[in-house]
Amino acid sequence: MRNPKSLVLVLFTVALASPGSRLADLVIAQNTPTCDVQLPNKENSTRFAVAGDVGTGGKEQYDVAREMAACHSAFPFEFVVMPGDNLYGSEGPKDYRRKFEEPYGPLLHAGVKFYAALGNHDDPDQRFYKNFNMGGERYYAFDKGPIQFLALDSTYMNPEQLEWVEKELKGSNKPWKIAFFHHPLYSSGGRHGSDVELRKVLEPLFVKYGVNVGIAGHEHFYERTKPQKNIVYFTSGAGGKLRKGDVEKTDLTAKAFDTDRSFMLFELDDDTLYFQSISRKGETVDYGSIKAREAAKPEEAATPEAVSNKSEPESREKPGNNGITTQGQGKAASKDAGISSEEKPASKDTGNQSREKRGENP
Amino acid sequence: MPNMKMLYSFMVCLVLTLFVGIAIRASDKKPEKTTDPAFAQFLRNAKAYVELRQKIEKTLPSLEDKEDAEEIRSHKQTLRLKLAAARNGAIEGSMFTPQAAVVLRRILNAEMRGPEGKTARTTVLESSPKAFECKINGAYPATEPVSTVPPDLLMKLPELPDNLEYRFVQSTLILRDAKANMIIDCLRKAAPLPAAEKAKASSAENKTDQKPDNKAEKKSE
Repeated sequence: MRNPKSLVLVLFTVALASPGSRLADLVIAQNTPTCDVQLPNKENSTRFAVAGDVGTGGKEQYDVAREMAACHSAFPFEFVVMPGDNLYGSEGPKDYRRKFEEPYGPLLHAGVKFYAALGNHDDPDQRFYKNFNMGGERYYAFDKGPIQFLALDSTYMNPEQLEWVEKELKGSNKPWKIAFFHHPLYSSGGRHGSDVELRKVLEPLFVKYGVNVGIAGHEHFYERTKPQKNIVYFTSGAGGKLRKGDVEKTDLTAKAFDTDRSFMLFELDDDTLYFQSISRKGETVDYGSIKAREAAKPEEAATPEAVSNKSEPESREKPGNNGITTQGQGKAASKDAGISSEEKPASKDTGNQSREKRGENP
Repeated sequence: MPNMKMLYSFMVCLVLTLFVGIAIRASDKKPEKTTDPAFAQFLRNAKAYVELRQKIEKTLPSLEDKEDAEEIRSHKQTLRLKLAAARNGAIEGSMFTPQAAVVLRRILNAEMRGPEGKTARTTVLESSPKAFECKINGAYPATEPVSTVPPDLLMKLPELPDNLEYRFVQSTLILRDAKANMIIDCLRKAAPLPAAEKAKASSAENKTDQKPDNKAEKKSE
């Protein structure tokens, strides 16, 4: 080094950036994901996360996985629900490593269990993979606390599976029922939209047996619908993939986010299910709670449930679907840059064709 | 005896109401499953195929629900190679017999044509992978998604035995073994997907592909 000034500069930089220095701390702080958990985060509650359409093996999937791990430190969820497209492309041992075991390594090491449903990109042999906990079945059910979970294979909803769904729902006395599957029954996605054919056969069963929440992927964004026949549907399909700007303006949407990857946290405490949707960068893009439905018993008429959407402005109070009231508390409102929602209509016009595809009720 | 007359009328009405109620309930239950005799040989073929697979599976280490990825791959590959060897010489139509093909096309037409079949057509078109060569005993390409088969349609098609499934590749109906990830048979031009709709779907696909943020992702969607 001939120039002493350069030498001093290099030494100064090395000293500052060396481990333990303030600059190093600053760099680490900027790159380490943080998680602003807004759920009640109470002891003895049932906690889980949701990440759909994850298996790309790309940088963004790893970013989301890191953010999930950061959230797990603050909010130790017990398991993760994956509504399909768990591995894109080839599915060799390397792919399982690169697209699942490595990104979620910290969570797996922490003992977090993953429960997968099959998407249209998934080989049914995933049901035998130990870390997907599918019990060797294409569709299966499991209970966690007061919740019955149903993982469905929505790419092949044959009579056999439908009979099984009915039998499982009918036979469960759990007060909460959550079904997760790949294709959304309701969606404002421009690319796919609602799966009307699937809805025709599943929705009557969900309504009859008191399913509270439906979780899907397939659409590469986040969306929470207004309650449809008293059921709240979430699309959480941006855990790895993203279809930017794909949320169209429809009456279905309670909240949507389509500008970055995202995942979700859920917490059931007493009779209230809290949810929080978080972007790859750690921003809360939606937050709220769902009250248990009183008429969750089979064969009884459904009664309206309360859904509080805390991401809407505090003063706003407006009627929702079927007389359901959404009440805002404005917690995450300041962070919703880039959120496409009813307050920020997407620029795309929804044509008749896509409306028909979604099969919306007028 | 006016009371007896009234009672008699009441009983007749009650019986009729019950009868009509039961009839409506029964018709509500499920669409009628086809029992067309044209499927007899097709279903015998499918059953024989499954028996063959089960026989081969007995020679392999069993696949449990707690496997790692290497075991899954090894099992699937060996199973497919052994099945393909055992079915050497199988050609298109060896499962879907000509008689079955006629009725299958009729069912697909009934479910997917016209305004009433629009959502079923949309579901298939929208979810179908791009056309690829339908090779008997070949692996279903790992990079391609599987099409959704509309549930109403599945109720009308003959029920398949253990882990066999119908899938679409554009208008071709394929019979796939989900356990071996193998294509067992293909029925070309089975689904009535009008050329105009196909072109529209394809142009929509291309249009979305041009979105700068999605370009790289679309390849595997």
